[in-house]
Amino acid sequence: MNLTKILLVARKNLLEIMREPVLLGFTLLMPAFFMVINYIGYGASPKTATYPIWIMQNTPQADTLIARLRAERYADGRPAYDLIFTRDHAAAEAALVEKRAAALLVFDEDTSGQVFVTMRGDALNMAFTRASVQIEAALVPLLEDAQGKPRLLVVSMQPLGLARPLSDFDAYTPGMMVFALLMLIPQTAMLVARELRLGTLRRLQLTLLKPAELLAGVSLAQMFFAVIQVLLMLVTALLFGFHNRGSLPLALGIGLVLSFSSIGMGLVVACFVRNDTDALNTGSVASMLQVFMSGAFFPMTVPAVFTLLGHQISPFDFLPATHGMLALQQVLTGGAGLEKVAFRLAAATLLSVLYFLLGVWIFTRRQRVYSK
Amino acid sequence: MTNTVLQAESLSKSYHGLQAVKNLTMAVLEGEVFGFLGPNGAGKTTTINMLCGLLRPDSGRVLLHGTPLSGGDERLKALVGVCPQNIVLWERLTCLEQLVFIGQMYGLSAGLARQNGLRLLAELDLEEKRDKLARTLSGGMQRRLNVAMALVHDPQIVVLDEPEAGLDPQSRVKVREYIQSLARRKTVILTTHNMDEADRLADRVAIIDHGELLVLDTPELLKQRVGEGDVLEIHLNNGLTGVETAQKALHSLASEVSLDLTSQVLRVRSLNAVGRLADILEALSAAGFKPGQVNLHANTLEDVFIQLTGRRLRE
Repeated sequence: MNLTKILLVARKNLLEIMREPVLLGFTLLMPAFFMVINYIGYGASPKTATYPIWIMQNTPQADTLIARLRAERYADGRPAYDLIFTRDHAAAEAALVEKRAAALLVFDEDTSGQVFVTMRGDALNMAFTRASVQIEAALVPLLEDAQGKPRLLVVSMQPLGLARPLSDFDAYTPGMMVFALLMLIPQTAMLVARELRLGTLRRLQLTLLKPAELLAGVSLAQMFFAVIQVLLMLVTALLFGFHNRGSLPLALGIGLVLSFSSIGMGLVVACFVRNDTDALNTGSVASMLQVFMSGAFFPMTVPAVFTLLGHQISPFDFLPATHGMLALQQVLTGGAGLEKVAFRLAAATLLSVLYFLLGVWIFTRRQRVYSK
Repeated sequence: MTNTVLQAESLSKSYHGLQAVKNLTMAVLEGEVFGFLGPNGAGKTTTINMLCGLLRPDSGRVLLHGTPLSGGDERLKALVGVCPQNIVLWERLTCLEQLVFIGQMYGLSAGLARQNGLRLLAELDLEEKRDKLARTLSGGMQRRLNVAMALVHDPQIVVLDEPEAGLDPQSRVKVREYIQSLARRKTVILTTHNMDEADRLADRVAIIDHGELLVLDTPELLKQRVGEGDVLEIHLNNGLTGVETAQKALHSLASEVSLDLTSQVLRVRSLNAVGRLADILEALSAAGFKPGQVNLHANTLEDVFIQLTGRRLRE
């Protein structure tokens, strides 16, 4: 491997991208833009939200229960529920359908004068699933006391290990970073595929440049942009109020490992495409699959295949993004240090190197000059 | 110009059962412009790729200065410069940047690559465009830069694939003069469909079809040997109409003799008619004709090519 040639290829790629404003903008600003979208979508909806709860009170004996709900507050003093009283059942049902109500509570009394509560909600509404658990935790002990029953279930809910309430924006920020970095897959594949389409790849193959040097140069240029991308994303997130609890340099390091793996996968994709459009399509599919499989947006529950160093390993753990996602979450929102994410970071690094080498190996075999 | 630079010995290559090149043997001499002609799909590119060490032959071998080449020989890369038919440039690099970059990829120092790049830009009238992005150049300028890219590492052998394709007349003349200037200093392998270009530039011409070498000789000798021949139009001053007499007189000298009765022009077709003109005129005089003005339509390399490869359209 000739370092000078690697640097020259990287310089060439940097020059080309910097002279292409659209691609440069897409490369540098899109990840930060994702973070802005994250804020617009979730910044105003903290996980400890004040849920709109519609109440139909058909008995005065429910006053104590309702007072308890009204008194429920989060650690930062915000009320847990916005109680909306109604006598119109149809209007309350419509509010559930339209998600204006997180839940509908109907307070009645039975023939013996005992209060009973009916809670209705949309099972697909995340607000209902969260609010219902909180409401159950608040009301069940009171109902059990009223009926003189012993405590059968004690629900204790609090954001463990977190000094401040965790907003959806906070919760989704690590996933958004992983998503943005996975977009390097189609970007890298497109850069290589463009050389293929223009014939410049063939021209380079005629020179004394080795395929591994070419790919190392392309990767180096992409890594340069990746550093800026990760920094911009972190800065944007912090500007929009992200509550960072961990080490930013550690998060940056994890981001760079993820970038490296995305670049390696981009090289693998580039081996199987003929032009930029193919690269964009195939690379986007590879990227989106990993967004889902890594649990960047929605936690995935996949059965473990085996256990390694005390960690249960599932099929999706063979993706660097899965480990990177968990490590970023643990650092940024959980405040974990290097020792706590060492396994995930090591796994992501090892897998990234493996994918990069796989990319180089396939590329070298498929694009070798002296073909059969 | 007698040393053999590249030699193909019984080269054969098949793709998926289709024989692209069959048992091809030929030699490229040092300092010559070697025209390599053939219809589409004749096996030109496959042969060139094997000669340049880019493709492994199924059988046969390639010798560089008498030494057999092994797979992917790095020696050859430094010795060969390839100018592809398509314009292959980095659109967002300047003319000089890409020349320096590609030179460095061939192992040149930055200084030497820059020096060679500047020289080539001057030689190909691109000096003023050295700091312009390739995408802003006209088609003719891009093609000239394409040629320069093949030469920046100062190779001994230059492969030019259709270098005049798509050029305006001014650029075509410029590129042609430049190729002529390369002759003797470098060995040039020129593939083209432009027979006039090959005729003007090539010292020797090889014509290949269906993977087989059909002929290999100088353009002049090929035109004398192959094709329907030169056509001589001889105006007859004594108004004789005896075409049979003329045919008899020219029996041993011409393949075809016809007479246009209205303009009294005797049309004689013969290979190397120019070389035999004195004999033809003498034979006609001896037979009682009085030849006047003579017009010549010489056999062209295109006639040779069509004669050898036929008129059927190729994919």
